[in-house]
Amino acid sequence: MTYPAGRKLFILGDSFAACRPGTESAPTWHRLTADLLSQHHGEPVQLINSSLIGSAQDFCWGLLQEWFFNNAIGPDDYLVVALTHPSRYWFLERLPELTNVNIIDLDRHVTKEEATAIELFIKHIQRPNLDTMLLINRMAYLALMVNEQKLNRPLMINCFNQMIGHAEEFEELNWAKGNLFEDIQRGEFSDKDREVADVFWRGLDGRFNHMCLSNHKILAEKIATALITDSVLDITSGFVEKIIPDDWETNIEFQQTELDYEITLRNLDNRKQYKNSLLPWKNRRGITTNNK
Amino acid sequence: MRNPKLFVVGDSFMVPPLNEEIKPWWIQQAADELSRLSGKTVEVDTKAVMGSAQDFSCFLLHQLYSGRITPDDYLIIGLTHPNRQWYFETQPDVSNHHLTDLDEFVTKDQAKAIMGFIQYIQRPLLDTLHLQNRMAYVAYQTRRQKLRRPLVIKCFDQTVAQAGQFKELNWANGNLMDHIQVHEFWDPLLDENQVYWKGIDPRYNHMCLSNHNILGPRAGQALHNDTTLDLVDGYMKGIIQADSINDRAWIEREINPFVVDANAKQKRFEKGMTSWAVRMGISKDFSIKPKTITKGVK
Repeated sequence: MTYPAGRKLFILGDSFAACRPGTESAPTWHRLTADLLSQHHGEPVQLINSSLIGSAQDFCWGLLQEWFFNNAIGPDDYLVVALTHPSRYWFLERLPELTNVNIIDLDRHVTKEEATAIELFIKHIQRPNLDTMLLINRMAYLALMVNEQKLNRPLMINCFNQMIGHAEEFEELNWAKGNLFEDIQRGEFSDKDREVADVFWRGLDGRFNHMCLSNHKILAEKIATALITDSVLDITSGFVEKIIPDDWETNIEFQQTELDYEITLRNLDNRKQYKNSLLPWKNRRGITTNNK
Repeated sequence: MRNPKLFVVGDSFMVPPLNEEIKPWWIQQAADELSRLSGKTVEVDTKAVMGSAQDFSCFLLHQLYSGRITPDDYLIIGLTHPNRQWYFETQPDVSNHHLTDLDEFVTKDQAKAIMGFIQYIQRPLLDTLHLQNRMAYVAYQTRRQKLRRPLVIKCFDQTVAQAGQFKELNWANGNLMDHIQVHEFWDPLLDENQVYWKGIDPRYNHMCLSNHNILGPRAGQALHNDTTLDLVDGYMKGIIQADSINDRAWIEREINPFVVDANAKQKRFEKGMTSWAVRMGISKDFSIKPKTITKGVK
């Protein structure tokens, strides 16, 4: 893989950071952050966003390994990691986006034998202690590389509330305060619990990266400042709350200004398929774990 | 102020002898060499567990780096094969699907979970990625806490990716299985458990004591001088002859007689030993010779 010359902004993460093909110019936080960095430096900052919807931490660290091995990230570059939940597991090599047992239709994408293997793995083998230890090891790898290659401190943004153990003390990592799910995504609803029950969108979240575009703008400004000044990013305050109106399904203006309009229309057309089956695969199978 | 310690984590290549076994194992000899070279008494503190996985060692290392190890201490990491998985929290010794009697130690559902994991989820790419992150954790803590470089000894041949370049780690040259263990036989190609021992390997840490006597001081010197430990050259080869197992004096001198006697009493291994994974038809080629190990004997 070749990388463009000049200063770059590398982004890794899950659906909170992924760019849907065809929406590269949408005013999402990753695009806006690159633009703000470009303005600050007076030269183009190339955006390299390798985030993947649904991916696990291991997928991101596989990419990081490749980047570090190839010296792709230089001392002038920036790195933002949107850290997904450590309970996600990259089960099958061919499906890096299929890691979350809360996916509604996980069993549609895998064979019966694979589904059974995943079910037994999360029932009997996976456990939070091990997930957290693997997470800390990943953070150590990143911290070591940052130290070794004298890079800017990467900005670490928790997508969900999660135990990061003593990785929080690794001074080579710039940890954001708060997390995207609890502090931005849920706050956009008039009733925070509505989305959790999955009765709201009835299918895919119509927002870019689970956030309305107003909050993308705020987030991008905060991220750019944190990267430029190497300071703490605070995502616990300053964002627009209760922005999603109850009439969002018929509110075209809201859909066009705040949501991924194409996805929103597609979801509204496809809502019938989710009418009777909104339970995550894990719940349908009666799997209970200590993990999220 | 306490004496310096030699901490040890790893698998069966690193475990201490049982109480009744008084032979000087290689780890103790490494500590003795360190004591001699440094002029301070170095005490062994081992947490190695037979049959354990890298994750279990890593769990111990996380504890060690939480204020237990000091810059005066030494550390040996016996790096078992990364395809071992710490399946169940309370059974760190059940991690190797080549155990002959794995299914005697887990429930049927747990055995099915292991089978599914091996068949559909586990893969070398992921194993190596996790290994690299584990070693990065060790390297990072070594740098952060200004500790001596740990001596990292591969128990088996394995891909360590970028971790091989981490300058905070002192990697030994070679590996214990391929360069010492198998070359002790007059015919290194035979499967020692099935053909020769008819039971579990009665050697201390899979090595004859003649090689303990070579490896121990060398490891101590590598730790003290922060130099590379060579596992490839200078060890005794072909010292286990076809009739050695009938030579009581040789047994007493080189291997664990208690295990030899226990093997002789175990009728179940007379027809050979087949690993659980092979019996289940799920053995994968992880680029190492499948090794049959029995947990139940002893």
